[in-house]
Amino acid sequence: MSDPDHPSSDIDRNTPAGFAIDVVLSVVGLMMLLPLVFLISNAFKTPPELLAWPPTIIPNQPTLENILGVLHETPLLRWIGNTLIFAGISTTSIVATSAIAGYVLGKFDLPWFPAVFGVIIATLVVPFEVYMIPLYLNVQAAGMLNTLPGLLVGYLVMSFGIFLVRQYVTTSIPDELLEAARVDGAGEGWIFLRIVLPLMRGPLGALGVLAFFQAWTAFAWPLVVTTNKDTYTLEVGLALFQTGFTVDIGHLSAAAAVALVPSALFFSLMRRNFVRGVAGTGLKE
Amino acid sequence: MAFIAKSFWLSAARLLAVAAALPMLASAASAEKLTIWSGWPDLAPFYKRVGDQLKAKYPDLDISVEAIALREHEKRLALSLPSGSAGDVIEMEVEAARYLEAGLIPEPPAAIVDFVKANYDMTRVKTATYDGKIYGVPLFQGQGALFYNTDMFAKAGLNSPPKTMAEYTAYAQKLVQRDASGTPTVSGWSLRLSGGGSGIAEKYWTILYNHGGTLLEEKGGKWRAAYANEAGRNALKQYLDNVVTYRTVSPEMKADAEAFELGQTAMFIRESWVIGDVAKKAPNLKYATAPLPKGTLMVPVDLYVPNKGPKNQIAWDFVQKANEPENLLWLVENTAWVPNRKGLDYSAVISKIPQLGAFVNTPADHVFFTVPAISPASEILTRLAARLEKAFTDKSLAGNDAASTLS
Repeated sequence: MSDPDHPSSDIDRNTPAGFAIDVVLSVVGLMMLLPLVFLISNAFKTPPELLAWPPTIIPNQPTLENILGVLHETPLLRWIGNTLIFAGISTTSIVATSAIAGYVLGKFDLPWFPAVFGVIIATLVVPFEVYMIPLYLNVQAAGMLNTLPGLLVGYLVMSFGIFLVRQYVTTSIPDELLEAARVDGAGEGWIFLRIVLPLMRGPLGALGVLAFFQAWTAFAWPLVVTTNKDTYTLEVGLALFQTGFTVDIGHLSAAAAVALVPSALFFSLMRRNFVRGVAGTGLKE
Repeated sequence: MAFIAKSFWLSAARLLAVAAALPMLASAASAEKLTIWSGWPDLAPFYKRVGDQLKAKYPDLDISVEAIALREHEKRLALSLPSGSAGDVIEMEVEAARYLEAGLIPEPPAAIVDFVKANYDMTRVKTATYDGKIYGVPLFQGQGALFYNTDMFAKAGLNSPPKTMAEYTAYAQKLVQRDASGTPTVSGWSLRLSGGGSGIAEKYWTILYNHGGTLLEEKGGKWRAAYANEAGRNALKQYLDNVVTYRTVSPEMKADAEAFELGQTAMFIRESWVIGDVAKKAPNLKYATAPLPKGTLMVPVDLYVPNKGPKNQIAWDFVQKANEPENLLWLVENTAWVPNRKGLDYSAVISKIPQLGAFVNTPADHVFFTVPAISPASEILTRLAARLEKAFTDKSLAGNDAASTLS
């Protein structure tokens, strides 16, 4: 039956076509889940079983040694904490700076703003690795190696975020709305906080996810800036489970499985906000 | 509005609370803190042990061992050495040459130079030497030997390891196991055929050497390729014979230590770290090791003290302590990495781990050679490896001596 509220259900699931789609989607879904299943499964396997072929999904002799080993031998919880703080501050900063800069560039008409916006856009095409070395030398000269501020340098502003917000503000927030507020006596700060910001939930929610992921998965910069085990982020810490020639798959899987818990919790808590934010954006004129 | 008032500020407040609660990114400063940078996380317990011993002389010393995967360690060095922010004691392999040429590593005290000259074969000090001066102290080395599955050898009627390179191929033909269609299921000899990086060229170099050749030679102070000759052809022919002609191995098969541990290859050439890996992953595997016919490429890992300053003496004391015989024997027994120092008595270790014998008790005429201490060494090997990877499976080269000279 067709459901007018859900256009995707136009195809009757009892027909061969509907059944075929279900099968394909189920297979693809399983394939996407399989690495995660193996990751968790490997965390509970002994070294010989990790090597066994074909691999087992349910461990024959499940062991907690990998997880206990990781928790005892490495400051894994500290790495997770470091990463949460790093990603949290980075995300907050990027969302805040992008919202302000994007709004100003999108709604205020000063002659040199197009040039400023052009420069911001130009930085989009410069890979981080290009300016990583001079950035490192500056951070080192400032004595900020192995510190949170040193880690955050380069992760406080995102030019793509400014671009995203500016485009959204330009196309989706009518000037008339802002003018009406000004006519009513509202100040610019009030307008931004009370009118513009709530309307930007959608792009800011998406940007927050992007920024969080960018920091959560950052590797090259934290690797060179943090050289003390206590200051590692999670991604750098996971590199400890490989040597020049081999990888300790058991410990690596255990660490990754433990590290999944906070990120999975974060996304399960935030999922509704993201969906609501994206679905509820836009201003109907 | 509610979004701003509640979610945003609550999230920010939570983050700040977490930041305040966690003992974050700044660890407590210590009066004397010595930082050891290593590219081998499996060596961290060794350095920790050495550091604990050093506390007898420096009671307030805090030793921090920062070991990370080798490639990441090299990236850190590339940035921190020029900017003077590297650890107090660092490990380096052949890449040290570029930093020595750039004058980024200070000379050690005369006592350290004397210590090295008295206790090490100079072949093992080449990569730590620049312009005739010694800058580092060798610690351990990667060197090749044959690993072979004794059960498979017995089943094939072979009661000793191959002693010539011709025997390697002959053994591989006897050891290979195939399915009904003739496709190999267990390789006779797992050659290094792929995987990128300089490893392919290093393994080829070892086989080339055992055919009587070498990869690079020095003439008049310049290094040049030296494999476009009969030895080079024979070494490449050995790969082609095994991959293309006799099909004792294929690039699609599992290779190296993993194949050996899974019982999917009968023999292969590798460094001693495999012994520790087998003990952990395949403890019931029956295997032995044997030295290669003539010699092996040996890549030493050396310790350097890159920073001048008050901690310099402590750092060199650490390096010397690490190289004390008792610690080196602990190193080989617990990590399977072979120390560089001369005159160590390995008998107790070999009685526990007989497979180490092929690495530490090599015949008197066994030759150890190493990568030249020049800055482009890694690039030379990497570029050659890319060409070799293609050549090993090129059917048009099999039996074609004229074409198979890599010039």
